[in-house]
Amino acid sequence: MVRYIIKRAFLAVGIIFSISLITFFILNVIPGDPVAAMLGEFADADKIAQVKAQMGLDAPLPVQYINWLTDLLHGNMGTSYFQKKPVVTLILQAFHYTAIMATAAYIVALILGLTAGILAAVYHDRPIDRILMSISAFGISAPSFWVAILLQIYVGLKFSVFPVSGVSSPVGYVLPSLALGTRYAASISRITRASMLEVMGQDFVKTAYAKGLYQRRIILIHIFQNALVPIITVIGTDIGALLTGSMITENVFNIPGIGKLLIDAIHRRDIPLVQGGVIYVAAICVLIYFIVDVLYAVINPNIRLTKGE
Amino acid sequence: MRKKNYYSESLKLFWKNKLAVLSLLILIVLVISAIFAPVLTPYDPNKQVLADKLLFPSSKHPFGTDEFGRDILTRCLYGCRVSLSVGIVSQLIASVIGYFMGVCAGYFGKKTDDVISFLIQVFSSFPALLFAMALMYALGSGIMNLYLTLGFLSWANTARLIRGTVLQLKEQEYIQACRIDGGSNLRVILKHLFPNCIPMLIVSCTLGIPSAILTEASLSYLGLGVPSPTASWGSMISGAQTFIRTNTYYSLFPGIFIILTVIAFNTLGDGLRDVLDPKMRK
Amino acid sequence: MERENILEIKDLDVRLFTERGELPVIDRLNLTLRAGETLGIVGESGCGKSMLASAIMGLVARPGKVTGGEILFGRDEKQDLTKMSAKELRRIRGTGISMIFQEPMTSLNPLMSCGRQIVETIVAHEKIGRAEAKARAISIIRSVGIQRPEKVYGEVPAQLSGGMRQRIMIAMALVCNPELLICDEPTTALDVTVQAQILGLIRRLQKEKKTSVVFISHDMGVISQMADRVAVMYAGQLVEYAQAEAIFTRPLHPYTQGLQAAIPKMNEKKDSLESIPGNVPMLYELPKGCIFSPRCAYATDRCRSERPQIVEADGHRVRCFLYEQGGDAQRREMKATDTSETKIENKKKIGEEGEG
Repeated sequence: MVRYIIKRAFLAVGIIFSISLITFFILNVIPGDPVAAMLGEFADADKIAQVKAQMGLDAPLPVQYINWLTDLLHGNMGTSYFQKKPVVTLILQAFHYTAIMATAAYIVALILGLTAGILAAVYHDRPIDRILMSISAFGISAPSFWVAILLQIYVGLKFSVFPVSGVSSPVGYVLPSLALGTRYAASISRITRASMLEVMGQDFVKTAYAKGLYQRRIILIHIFQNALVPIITVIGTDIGALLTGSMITENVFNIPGIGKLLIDAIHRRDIPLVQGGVIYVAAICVLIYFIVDVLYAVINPNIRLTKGE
Repeated sequence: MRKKNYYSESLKLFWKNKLAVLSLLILIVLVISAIFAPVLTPYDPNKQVLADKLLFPSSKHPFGTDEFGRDILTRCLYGCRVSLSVGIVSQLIASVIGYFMGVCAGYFGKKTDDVISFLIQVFSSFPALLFAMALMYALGSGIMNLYLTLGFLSWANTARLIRGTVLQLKEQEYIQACRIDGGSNLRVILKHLFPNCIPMLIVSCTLGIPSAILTEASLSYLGLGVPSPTASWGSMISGAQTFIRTNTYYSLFPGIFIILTVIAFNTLGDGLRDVLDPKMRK
Repeated sequence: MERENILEIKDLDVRLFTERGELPVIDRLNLTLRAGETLGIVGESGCGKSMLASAIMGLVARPGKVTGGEILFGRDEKQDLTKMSAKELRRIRGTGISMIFQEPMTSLNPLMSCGRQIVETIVAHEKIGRAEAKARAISIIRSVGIQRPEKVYGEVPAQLSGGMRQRIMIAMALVCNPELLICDEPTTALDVTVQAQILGLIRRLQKEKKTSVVFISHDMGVISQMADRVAVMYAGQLVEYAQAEAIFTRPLHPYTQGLQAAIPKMNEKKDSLESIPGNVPMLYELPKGCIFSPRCAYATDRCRSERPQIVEADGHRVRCFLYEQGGDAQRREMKATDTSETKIENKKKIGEEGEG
């Protein structure tokens, strides 16, 4: 298993490295002069050249990339052109909000998704199952920003307890995390149901019933734990989507998280900030996938038991 | 080898799935209304009539009007054009990239496979929306750029499926025979492997469309999709957000269109998967 | 000394509710099991044997349903299992009736250690401390012939062989001392030497614990080693029921005779097994007359148009028109008139015993 984890760790590093390359490529090689665009149409050629030299953009591309990467490894992502502050500081400040919201949304998604999935599986092919699965079909298909706006209209504006903008108090996180969480709740409920149903057909479940165990124990310990392996994979991959999803929800609720930071930076053509934000979020996603991989190995005895090789 | 009657049998099975057929009907209606939008509605989607701004639904404007007095139903119908074309074209691009990547990985094996498999890993581990934002930022908004961006970002899943299929097919005798007979690689790839991959391509393409549509809506919502004033469901919702206190219905309608389209594609994709390749089910 | 009945199945009906309509998986079945004895149930796959086991356990799952009859269980006060609430059934499972399944490889929870799987059975039925439950689990593991039970206690099923897993299954089934043990093809998935060990183990424990056993198998050879009485099932119906000795020395029903012929004999040199031609009919296309008539060498027009009832003959209960007048005379007559030629004609040689 140690071997497996080391292999995965190398893969994760390789992926992050590739992502840094792709990000750099996307933002620097593609035609168009970012500095000119950044400075606006009234900037003269001298000014553009000056800024370019200042940002190290007059060097050949490979050199630029290596400089950028070296800085990145030293924890330096440059300075925001618009906000005049170190990108790292801005990102860490903003990520605080994103992390809280994503975690809250994730908890909502897990609670709703697992409960609905288990219920649907236990009451397979009965009205509860059909109703829950129809709701989840809608949940998967609805864009989270639209759900967010519906929540603003039908909850936020009706009950003044829940603000529709900003997070001055913890209550401000309620609607955003609901809006974001429901979508992932839908996908978690589907995989939970499918995976539970598959396990329910297996022989050891019949054994568990034949032993006279309590139904609750059979469902939660025997069926659910065995169903968990595929569920974890989906839940893990969902975290990445949830992080990017939260970037949009932040814009709906006006939360100063990393999504808002990034979108504002994009609209202001603030390259260092965009570059830093993208690589930061991507790296976090890869890190999460790595953790999920390790977790997967821990709960799956087939991988756990091959420690001999 | 797939036989001709494989498809006719699949079709027969498909007609039995009422939900999938219903979804197909809905999609056909949506496509028709996207194509014939100018005939179906008397209004210009982009012409501002400030005297008529923010009207509530009425017989003249069934969905009401927006802040520039444009008919919301008309803009929803024109929005179909953006969403459907982005969904379909981007997934066709993704299928082509995914097919060639998958075939090369599975067919040539060795180093080629290692490199492509790693690329598949990379492209499936980063969040698509994040890179879509970065790409759209670099390329600038526009429908062409949406096609390319979303196509470029969503080929990995198709490639993985195709690679698996090709690895299996490669071991089959007739392919081996063809290779020994000196059939060129290109000939084997196009003549023998491609027909066997078609069902899988159809399914993965159909199931890729809804997520492409959702990503497009998100990008348009963030102002990174099609440039205004082109109507798109995502940008309409973004515009509606300012008026949630007064004009509730405004944000409602484009969202309903998104949900309807996405559900229809999802159901159709599931239906196709069930009849074309039961083994692809998870 | 006549022993009391522990299990009485009366007119049991189990049906599957499918798109093709209601299918009778078990059709008005009557059986009794005496305390301490073993009832063998034999038939090809698809005969409803496993469904019968599920019905006794109260585990018939949708789309199946018990639609009639009674399953009376107990020594003095018999309770009808088909009319019990889920709560009462749960209490009976494990303590009153236990079950061992065909596939030891998949019948244990792969994520839970063997010891915990046994402990949870004890804990579900008795108020007992952790340490005491563990001690009891270890002692039952030892009693099914496993060396170093403490080590096996902590191992997950993947670390054990098929035979070992089946021993764990037996330990788990017997840990609460049930009165009735149902074995559903417990050795089919095992190889021959292990099979003999497991059969021996079941017999030994049955004697020690005075457990009554319902032993289900498609294999007449295995049944002959285990059963005191034998019930032969075919397509959901009981076709013959008698003392084991009677079944093996004088099988009456043509189907029983066919199964009998399928047992490989040590002293016979044969390349293939003699078996019954054809297959068990699908439940949605049961023949109008006797359900066995399409495969029966003796079938007459009457057999093909009319369902025979169970009759007493020669100490057997048998569902066949041949024995309507009660016995031996008929049988001998049949043997005489029926030349062996027609029999051979109807019995194709098939390569292997195909059922499983």
